[in-house]
This record gives sequence, structure tokens and C-alpha cells, in this order.
Amino acid sequence: MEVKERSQKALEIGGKANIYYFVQGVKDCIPTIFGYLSIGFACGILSKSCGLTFAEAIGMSIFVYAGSAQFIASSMILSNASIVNIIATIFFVNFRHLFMSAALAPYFKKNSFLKNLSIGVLLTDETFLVAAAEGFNRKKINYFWMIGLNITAYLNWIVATGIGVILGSIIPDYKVFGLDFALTAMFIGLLISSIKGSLKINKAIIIIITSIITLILSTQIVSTSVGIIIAAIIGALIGVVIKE
Amino acid sequence: MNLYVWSVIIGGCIVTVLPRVLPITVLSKIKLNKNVEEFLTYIPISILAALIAVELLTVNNKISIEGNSLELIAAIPTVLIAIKKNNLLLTVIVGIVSIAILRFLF
Repeated sequence: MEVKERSQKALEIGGKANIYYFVQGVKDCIPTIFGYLSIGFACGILSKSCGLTFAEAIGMSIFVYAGSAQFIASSMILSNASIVNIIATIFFVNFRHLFMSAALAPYFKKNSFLKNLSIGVLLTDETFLVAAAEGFNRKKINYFWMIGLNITAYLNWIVATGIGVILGSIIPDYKVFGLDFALTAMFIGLLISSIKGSLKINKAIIIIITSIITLILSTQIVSTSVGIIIAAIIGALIGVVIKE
Repeated sequence: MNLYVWSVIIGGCIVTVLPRVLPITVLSKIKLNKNVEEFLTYIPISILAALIAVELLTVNNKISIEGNSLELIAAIPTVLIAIKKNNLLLTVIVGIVSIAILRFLF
């Protein structure tokens, strides 16, 4: 009886801790909400202007869930590109998530396959960057924290696209209010906070410059989405090669 | 129901889920080499730098400074506020307001 009670109590405490971590993950997502909301609006407006219906635009946000890939796919749909062509483009634009997913893998060694699957499915630029910062600062990432972070970003994205599609009938061009720049600004903010939070500044600057130069050079030959992947690899390799 | 659009959505779903899911489910079960783990810790800033470069330096897959002149100018207050305050929300707001003012003026 006593044992049973005690394990019941432990379960309750465990449950409470899980909820606590989940809520913490939701809270840690909040700083990215406004930026993603703006991009979601922009994405919805663009989808609308490319002729997508409400259901199609929302469907794309639910199933593809990838900002830049959705922008490109919508305009390719408008120009009637072939299905294979569009899907291949989405693949290349989003291929960078392979490296993000790999970078988080060491933090989730003890989790089951299904748990890691549930984390990976909703991985996106912002949640990855927030999670990478959490991992760097605390040396570990809680599963429920990660789920809270991911789900908040996901719902925010779906709602934002929905509102964007509705706004799309009123606002024809999303660039008017500078919404498209939200993404750039958010990346800048995330980059600066990750430099501040982590590495030696000199090393960070060398990695950043290497990555930018590689990107500029590679876009002479390949598309920018392939360029991002090459730049990310070369930049990180330089980080390994040079000393502190 | 538009079959063309929904084929793109379903296909797009498959090709975006795979790169997200494969490494975290597979690599987390393998003991990684120290250098590989170090490499992975540099991925965030390296990818971010490349993403920012694409936003600020390219137009339609080509390097273009002129095509981004307003964005490059708007990036200056954005970077400054990010360094000074380290507040993501504020950084995004400053960025949007800066570019909106610049586009309104020029």
C-alpha cells in the first residue's frame, strides 16, 4: 500500500515536472512568435495572391510547415511548374534541417525512437535555434520542454498563415508593411544571441565570415538553397579546424 | 479539390519530414566522434550566417547588392539593437519598422 502510494506520488511529481517543462518550452517560444507571425501573415498573403484556396494554404502550413519553401512552392504553383520540380525544390530548400536535426541528436540519446520522431517532425529553423541555445547553456534539453516549444511554433505558424490568407483579400502585397523583413531580423537576433551565449567571439566571427563568403561563391554555381548547405558545412568545418 | 496542389503538398510533406526526422532518430543512437560532435555545435551559427546572407545579399538566386540596398541599410539598426538589448522581439520590431520607413521614403 505504502509502496503504491509512494509510486503514485512520484508519478504525480513526474507529471507536474513534465507540465512545468512543457510550459517553460511554450514560454521560451514566445520571443519568436511575433517574427513568425509576421512571416506567416506574409506567407498567407502570398499564397492567396498565387491563387491558393484557404484550405490549400492552411494544408501547406500543416503538412509542409516550412516558411521559405512554402513561399517558393506557392509561386511555382502560380507559374504551373511540374509537381516533381516543385517537390524537388522544396526538398533542397529544406535540406538544411538535416544538419539541424543532426546537431540536436546528441541531446536526445536516451530518448526512445518515437520520442525523437515526435521532436524531429516539428523541427524548424527557430525551434532548432532556441533549442540549440538551451542545449548549449544547460548541457541538456528536456523532452517536454522541446515539445512545448515545437507545438507553440507550429500552431502559431498555422494560425498566422490562416490570418494572412484572409488579409490577402485586403492587402495584395505583403512587402508594403515590411513583413518579409521579419525573417531577416529574427535571424539577425538569433545569430547575435547565439554568439553572445556561446563561443569565443573571434571563433564565431571567423565561422560567420567563412560561411558568408562560401555562400557568395557557391551561388555563382548553384542555387541559394544548395549554397546554404555548402556554406553551413564549410563554416562549421572551419570551426573544428581552427584553435580557440 | 485541386489534385495538382494537393500532390505538391503531400510530396512536400514527405521530403520535408525526412531530413527533419532521420538524423535525430538515427544519430542519437550512434556514438559520435568528438570532432563530429564539435562540428555539429558550430552548425547553428554557420547556417544562420548563410541564411542571413541569402536574405541580405541575393535576389532570385543571384548576388545583388543594389537589389537589397534598403534591406542592407535596415539591417544596421537591427544588428545594433540586437547587440545592445539581446531581445528577439524588439529586434524583429526594429527591423520591420526600419524597412517599412525606408520603403515608404524611397
